[in-house]
Order: sequence, then structure tokens, then C-alpha cells
Amino acid sequence: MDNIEKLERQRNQVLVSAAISFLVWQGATLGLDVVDRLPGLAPATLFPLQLALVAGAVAWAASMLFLLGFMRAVKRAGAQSVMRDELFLRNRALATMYGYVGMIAVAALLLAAATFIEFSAMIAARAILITGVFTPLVLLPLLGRETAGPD
Amino acid sequence: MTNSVPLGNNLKELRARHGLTQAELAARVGVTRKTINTVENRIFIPSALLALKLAAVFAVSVEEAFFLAED
Repeated sequence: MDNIEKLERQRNQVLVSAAISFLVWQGATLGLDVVDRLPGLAPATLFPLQLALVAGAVAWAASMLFLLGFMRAVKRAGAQSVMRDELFLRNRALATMYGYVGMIAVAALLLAAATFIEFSAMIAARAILITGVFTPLVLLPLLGRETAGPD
Repeated sequence: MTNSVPLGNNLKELRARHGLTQAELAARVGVTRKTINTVENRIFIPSALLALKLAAVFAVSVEEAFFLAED
């Protein structure tokens, strides 16, 4: 495996770890927003969500540090343009588009749900944010994997 | 992804003739090996710029490297 492939693998790992940690962090926050509105809930039942929130936030911060390290490694290797070649740009555009479509779909679902149940704007905003951030982050490595056939 | 793009190519034959691996060809045109692989396997349509660069590596015209595929 050459240096460029190692960097590509490293990028995929950073993106997936960022996606998962963001989902855990913001998902737990969303969960707390939801259960906060439920009457008569024992505070102990919130503990797993609070724990996930903290763990997710720490993991997100760590993945941002890994991202910085990765960017430095790319710069050191002088591989900026290779790492942003046209296949990557195409996959990034596709991943971003799917994220946008996902956000619209979630917004539409929430609008429909609002007819039947009441929830705060914060819950809706967070659900749309999670979709918009998580989808492209996780799709970009998947699109790269999907397009890689045998040598 | 199983659908082939309608742009055929002779990159594999040209590489074999010049004794180049996908990674070596990729390094010469400034892309990743995966990009060469996906172009070769008709998964990704390269830009005109990349097609010209690839043809230039093998010293052939773009038409000799790429062609419209029927299937």
C-alpha cells in the first residue's frame, strides 16, 4: 500500500469516527431534549444519555484533532491535490447532495409529524442538523469504497 | 455499483504495453489509484483534462484511449 492509499484510508477513518461521534453526541442531546418533556421521569434514567453526550462530545473533539493531524500529514506528503482529485470531488458533491436531500426529507417528516404531536423547534433543528452532518460524513467513505473495483 | 458508464477505454491495454501499474499511472497524472481504477472499470467518467493527461502519458490521441461504448 503506497502513501496515498494510506492517507485515503486515514481520511476514511477520520470521517467515520467524526460521523459516529457526532451522531452519539447530538443524538444523546436530542434524546435529552425529548425525555426532558416527558413528565415524571426519574433523573437516574437520564444518566445513560448524559454519559453518551459527554463521551460523544469528547470523541468528536478527538476526531477533529485527528482531522488536523491528517491535514498536516497530507501537507507533509505534498499530496493535497492528489487527495482532492476529481473522483474525490465527485464523491464529495454526491455525499453533500445526499445530506441536503436527507435534511429536506427529515424536515418534511417533522412538519408532517407536527400535525399530530407537539415538539419544540430545538428538537426539529437538532434532528435536521444531525442528518445534515452525519449523512455526508458517513457517505463519503462509503462512496469511495463502492467505486473501488479490483486492480 | 454495477452500471457501466458509456465511455469505454483502452487504459488497461495501454498500461500493459507501457509496463505501468495503476498506481504509477495515477502518480504520473496526479490522481489516486482509485480514480484510475474506476475510470478503467468504467465506473467513473474522467474530465476532459484527465483524459488528455492520460492520453499524453501513453503518447496517443484521446480517441485511441477512450471511445463511446455501446453497452
